[in-house]
Amino acid sequence: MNQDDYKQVLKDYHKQREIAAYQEKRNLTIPRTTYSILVILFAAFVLSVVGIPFLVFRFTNLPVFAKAIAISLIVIVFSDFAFRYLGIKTIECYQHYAKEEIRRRCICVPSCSEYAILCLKKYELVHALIKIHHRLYVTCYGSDYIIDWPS
Amino acid sequence: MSEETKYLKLARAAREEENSEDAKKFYDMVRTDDPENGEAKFFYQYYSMYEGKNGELANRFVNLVKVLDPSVKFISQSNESESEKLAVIKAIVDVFTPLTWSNIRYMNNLTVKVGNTTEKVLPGSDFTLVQKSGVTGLYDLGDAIVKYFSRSPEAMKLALTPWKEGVFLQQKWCYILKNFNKSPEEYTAKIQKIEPSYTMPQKANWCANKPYDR
Repeated sequence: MNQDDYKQVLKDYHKQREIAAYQEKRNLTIPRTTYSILVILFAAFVLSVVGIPFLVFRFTNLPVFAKAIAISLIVIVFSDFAFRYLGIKTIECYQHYAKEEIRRRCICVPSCSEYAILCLKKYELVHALIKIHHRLYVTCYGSDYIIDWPS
Repeated sequence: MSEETKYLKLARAAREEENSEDAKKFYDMVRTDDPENGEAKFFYQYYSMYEGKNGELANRFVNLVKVLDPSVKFISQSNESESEKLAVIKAIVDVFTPLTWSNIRYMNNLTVKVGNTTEKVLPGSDFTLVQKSGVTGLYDLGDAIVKYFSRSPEAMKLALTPWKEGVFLQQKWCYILKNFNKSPEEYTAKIQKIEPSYTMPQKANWCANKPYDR
């Protein structure tokens, strides 16, 4: 029996228990104001997606293809920001309303929802979605705790 | 100073220095002189667990679990002061509580490559034996402390640590321990009598109907 390996495992025990205690005590809440912000943001998003193309077509003298490119760029840039922000707020709602027994199924630190928020803050929409998908269906699997920060 | 006391002090010093070889040697000497020394009985068995083949680890762990109750009984009957007895009980609790989880972890790490696949060296029956005897040992350690130190509130608090670990592990390994003769609810109730704020940990995700749905 390799005593050094065994002692290393014993040292890991305390780290694992800290993680377990963190998971037990985790109780994320968001303030009520966030919901009104969410509604305002959604309204702003819808108005902008409809309103920006309208303004571009109505009040600019650019050629049609230039207008189309300008609208596409504006919509892509804005929708990336808006979808990420909406995604974060939706996940915060999930953290607030989802049952503990559902949320505790995650075995990772940070939890999948926190990881998703971090990814949405850090990366562009498509990159973030790929990382979140990998985390949900590949990393968060099994019975042992896993530490996995977005990097 | 008697020979036994001298060896006991040397053994404790070796234990604090994490010198398992010397600790085992001195605890063995104490055990030979006084077979009813609970501390020596437990720690000799504990250090014996570190030695030998990996394949016999489960059996050595079962032997350690068997000496828990008599060790606590002998400690409670010894001539030492109450604070010294509690210090020894605390040392036993600190040492024994992480063992079940650590043994499983250590056994999980023992793998061998067969072609392109990695397989565990030890059979599944060894894992089940360690899991069942470990959780039983944790509950029994808490029960023994409560039984032999029922007048000491501090000792009652010490019993909480192995009980909590037992409930945690039984919930974590709920699939393997589903036909186990001890229920986590029973021990949660016992813990809550001493610590009312305690809540039973949730079962592991792989016990749920939809294991990977989150």
